[in-house]
Amino acid sequence: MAVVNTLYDVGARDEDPYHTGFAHLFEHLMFGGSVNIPDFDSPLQRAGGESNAFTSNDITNYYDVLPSQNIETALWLESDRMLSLAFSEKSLEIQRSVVIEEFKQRYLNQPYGDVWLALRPLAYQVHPYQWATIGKEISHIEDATMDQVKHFFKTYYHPSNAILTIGGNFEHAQIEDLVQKWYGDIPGKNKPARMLLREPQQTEYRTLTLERKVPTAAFYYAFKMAERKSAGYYLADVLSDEIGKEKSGQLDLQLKKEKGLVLEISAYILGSIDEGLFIVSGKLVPGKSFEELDAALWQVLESFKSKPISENDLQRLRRKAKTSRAFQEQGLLNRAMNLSFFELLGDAEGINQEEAIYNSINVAELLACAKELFKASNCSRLFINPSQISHEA
Amino acid sequence: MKPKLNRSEPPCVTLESEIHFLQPDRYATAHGIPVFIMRNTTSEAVKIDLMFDAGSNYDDKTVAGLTTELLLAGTSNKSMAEINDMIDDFGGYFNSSVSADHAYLSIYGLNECTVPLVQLIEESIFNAVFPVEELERMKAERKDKLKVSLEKVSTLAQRQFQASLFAGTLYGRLNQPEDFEKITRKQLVHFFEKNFKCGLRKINWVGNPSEAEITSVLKVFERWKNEVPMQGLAEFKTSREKITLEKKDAVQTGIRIGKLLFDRSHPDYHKMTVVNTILGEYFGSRLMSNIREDKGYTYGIGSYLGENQSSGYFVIATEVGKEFLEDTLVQINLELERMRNELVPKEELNLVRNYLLGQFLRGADGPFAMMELFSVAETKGLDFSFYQKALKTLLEITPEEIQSTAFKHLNSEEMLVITAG
Repeated sequence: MAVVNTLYDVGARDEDPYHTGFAHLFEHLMFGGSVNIPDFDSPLQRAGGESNAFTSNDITNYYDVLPSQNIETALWLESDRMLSLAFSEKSLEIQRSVVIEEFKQRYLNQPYGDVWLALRPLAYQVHPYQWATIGKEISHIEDATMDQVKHFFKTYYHPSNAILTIGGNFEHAQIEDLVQKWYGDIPGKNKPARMLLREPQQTEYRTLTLERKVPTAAFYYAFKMAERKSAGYYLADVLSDEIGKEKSGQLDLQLKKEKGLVLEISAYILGSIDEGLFIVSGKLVPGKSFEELDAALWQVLESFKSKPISENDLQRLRRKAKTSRAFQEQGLLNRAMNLSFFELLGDAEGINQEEAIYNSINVAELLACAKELFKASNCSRLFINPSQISHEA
Repeated sequence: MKPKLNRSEPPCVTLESEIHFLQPDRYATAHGIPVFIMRNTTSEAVKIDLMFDAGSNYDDKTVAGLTTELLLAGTSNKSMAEINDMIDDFGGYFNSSVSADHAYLSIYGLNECTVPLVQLIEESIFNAVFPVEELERMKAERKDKLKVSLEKVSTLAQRQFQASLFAGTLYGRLNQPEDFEKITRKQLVHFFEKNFKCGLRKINWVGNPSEAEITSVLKVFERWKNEVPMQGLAEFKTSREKITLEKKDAVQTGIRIGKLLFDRSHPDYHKMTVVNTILGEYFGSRLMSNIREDKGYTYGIGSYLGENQSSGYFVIATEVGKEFLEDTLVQINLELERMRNELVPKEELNLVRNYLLGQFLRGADGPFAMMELFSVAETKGLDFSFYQKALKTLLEITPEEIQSTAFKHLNSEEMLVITAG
């Protein structure tokens, strides 16, 4: 099998605040035919392949997986939609509707579905991470025009703003020739400058409580954390693994077992390129109060600020990381995507340095990281309170 | 001079129509439980799956799930946290799942620690005590998860579909949030003794063990048996129903349309796979093309062939905007009728043939995928010749055969129609 992965350096953070959800809507349009090929998917399927894509706040990533001998089909298709789209009115109209249904299915018609639509603007006041990739509201998608689509394409979809990664059992020269053949004549333009507003240093504890039709009270603590390319990112990542360990982590032991306050609790990072979020979230045991939880949760977090984790615990995290790396490396697609992402960060070679970075982390650094992170003035807190649920059905 | 590139002309494509299936090595424990080993020579990653005859059909609906979740929740001398820390020491991971027929425990690790990791896990589950306090917490967690799930129109439609399709049999039982409350530790212990200790069905091992390591692992599992009597196959009698569930304030409607069919041992199964792919199994399928890509009614729609130990079924599943419900049902019927009454154009059949060949290759890529293929067949008493036959059918099937298969099995008059929203 072979993989063709194309990463475009554009995500929801590049949208303007009055037209959000556009990068993602655009991703849908990329499957609606290009300048010389009326339909993207059929020729790929005819070559035994399949394709998909995702949009995040940072990037838009397209991938094709197909039998190696048909690699040229993927390059033909991908290069043509990089050259130009068909810009069909019907495709825009239909995909607007599809994306609106996606908005409903994933964010509105689901318990806790709109949590991120509320938490992001609480945590970010100026940075475009304040909206989710689906967009702030449905009307932004409804209002998208063909002119905006064309402008978006012209700005972001060209070789200077893309990273192409090809995986498979090939000779380098053979691939070089094929890429030259299909991409060689696509004009390289100037890479668009990214000038995002920098999120000002947070100085106050931000809290919000919402009433929603959900069965159980839920809580979300979002701490600002270091950007992707800094050492602090890796520290926060390891710290979240330690704190959030299922069944043997401190949050689980203290809040679930000892105090019986939560049904479930976890800690994780969002992994964004700019200043990110370290999340602690979970659900309350019915009958327990947010006040009890809040006090107990901060107590656990304080303990990570006053005492370093044990060398033993750090060792365990390293061993687990080694296993999960072995599994991640199993998949060709995974590897191609990761390589593209590291190239975006500055150098594909970075993928080979990660293990050493993680292994060099020591307990003193983790303690310092916890001290930085777990402050009220660095935190945005969202409580979801159940309102009366109607019991029909 | 360089010839001008013709971008309208697709490059040539070729497809291999042969797949080289790799047979795992077969060993057995002292009690004759099969252990299948698939070699992974390119990586240190190891996965070991334990399959038990311990599905939810064997007891109160929630017992199997709770027992499986708590297999590693503590022994008489080790707490759950201690066990988990020790698993971490070997860089191990595990997860579990339960179907109506079986329970599964999967262990992930590296070659270097396989034997001690397996020893630790076996020791911990064999001596599992299912502590009351862990059970109570798990009951509360599962109850809450079910409540959340019951707020989704997709869940409501899916559950009603299952209840109607399998009405009157164990497969048709639905659990309710309050069902968790009455479950006792005693039930779990009893279920564990009966369906786990005496219900280990097989072990699948992907890794690169030495003979000595294999011998050690076989020895580790020598105290496990399989004495669970084969469950009689359930006899399903679905009556055709149209059921509408109301959910106030929902902005979408969940739809499930389908019927009983057969499982992969039926002579029409391979043909039906092709029929199902054309209708609703891939991105370019007729249902997707019509209802998503032409009308924009939904984020996604698909049709599936599902199966359990006793039989199989066909289902179409989607969530659509409320205002589109009526026309969606009309369009689904239209597509079913088109499958039954018209020949599939050659071009479309070629595309689907190639797409499915590609799917085959992807599904057989690497030792983990190969083991999965082997195991799914083995559970049903089949072997790799099942896939060879699937390939042969795929290469030879004609538009006439597709139409007659669809005509026989996709009569909308025989289908359940469930909507929730």
